[in-house]
Amino acid sequence: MEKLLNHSRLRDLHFVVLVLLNLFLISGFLISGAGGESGPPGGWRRIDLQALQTRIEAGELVDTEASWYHREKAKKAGQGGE
Amino acid sequence: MVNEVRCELCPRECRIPQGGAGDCRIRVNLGGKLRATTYGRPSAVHIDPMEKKPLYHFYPASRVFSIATAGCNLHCRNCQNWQLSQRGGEEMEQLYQLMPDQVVAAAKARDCQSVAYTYSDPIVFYEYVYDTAVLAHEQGLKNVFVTAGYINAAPLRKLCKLLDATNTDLKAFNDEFYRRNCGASLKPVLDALVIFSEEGVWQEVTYLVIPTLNDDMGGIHRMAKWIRSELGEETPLHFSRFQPMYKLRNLPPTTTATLEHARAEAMDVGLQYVYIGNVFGNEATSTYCPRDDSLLIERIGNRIIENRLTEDGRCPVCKVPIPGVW
Repeated sequence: MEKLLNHSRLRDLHFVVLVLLNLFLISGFLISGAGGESGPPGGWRRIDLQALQTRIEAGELVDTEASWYHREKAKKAGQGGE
Repeated sequence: MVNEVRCELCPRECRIPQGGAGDCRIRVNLGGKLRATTYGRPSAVHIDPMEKKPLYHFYPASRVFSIATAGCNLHCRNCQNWQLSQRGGEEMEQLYQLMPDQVVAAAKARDCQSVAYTYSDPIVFYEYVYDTAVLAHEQGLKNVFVTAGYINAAPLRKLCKLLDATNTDLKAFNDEFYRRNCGASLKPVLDALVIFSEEGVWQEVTYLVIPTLNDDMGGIHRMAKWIRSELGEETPLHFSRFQPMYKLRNLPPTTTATLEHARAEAMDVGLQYVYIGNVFGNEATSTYCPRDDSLLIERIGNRIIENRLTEDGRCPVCKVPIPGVW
């Protein structure tokens, strides 16, 4: 009898763990979905620079100078793009 | 930081260190200079009907040579072109070599009347757009700019001199939506819409109606009032149906009833040309005379069934001029 009860408790425990695990996964999914994107202030991104340079050297991408920028340090000296 | 540059193209104004990219992924600081790495290297090249942009009052049924490169300065969770827009050039499998003169030659050879800068946001490949647009005009082609309008005023005004038509995707009339869903803000977009209007570029506006996020009729009413007062009641407005994709696959498609409700709201405010898009066979994809309600241009999907406008763009019944470039 005792053995049967212990087996039953263990099975209940497994069930509770399974339910908690599911709740954890569902809440994780909902939180990630509700996260949204960050606000507008401009940052910058790290990119795979090696891959970029390889593709520029292969002619698949280019290093054409952009307009509408300035160098942060050189701004006072009047350098920069547009 | 040594060799840091600040991009001034869009309101993000990214400060980019040597070896880094702007938030758009394709404007890269190499050697202390900002580089447009996808100039002449589109990843999408198609010929579309003008109605696909959508532009319903600009050369109906004409063919548009459409190009886009990787990258975007918005990060919309519902983006339908995210494999293109949310990647840098170095991540793309497909990179065509198509310099501005080749774009124009290809467009002419394929009997296109216009070149469209589209799919991702052409703001981020500004220099490529600009140089192509100059050559396109020289060769008698029109320039069409399909954008979310998140750009600074000075570069936009300069580009407007070369643009003939634009469709701006107004994501919502709500700054919170822009911040949470696109990582951007509303005001620069409204400013861009006003600039297009001031600069005399033919303009249509698209509003993708996303269930629970931007489908409240109060917001749609305010947007329609703003369009009427700032851009004019003759500005065509397209309510487009959302389909679940990218990071918003948990939401259902927009119901036709919601789109029709939004259209009715905008027309009640006084907008004269309000359309429903992405719903095949809906009557609201056609153009009607605002004076006598007669059918002017009948459309099914992106196809024109019949264009009853007079040659000078008037209603054949009451002769009222219909705004647009016909």
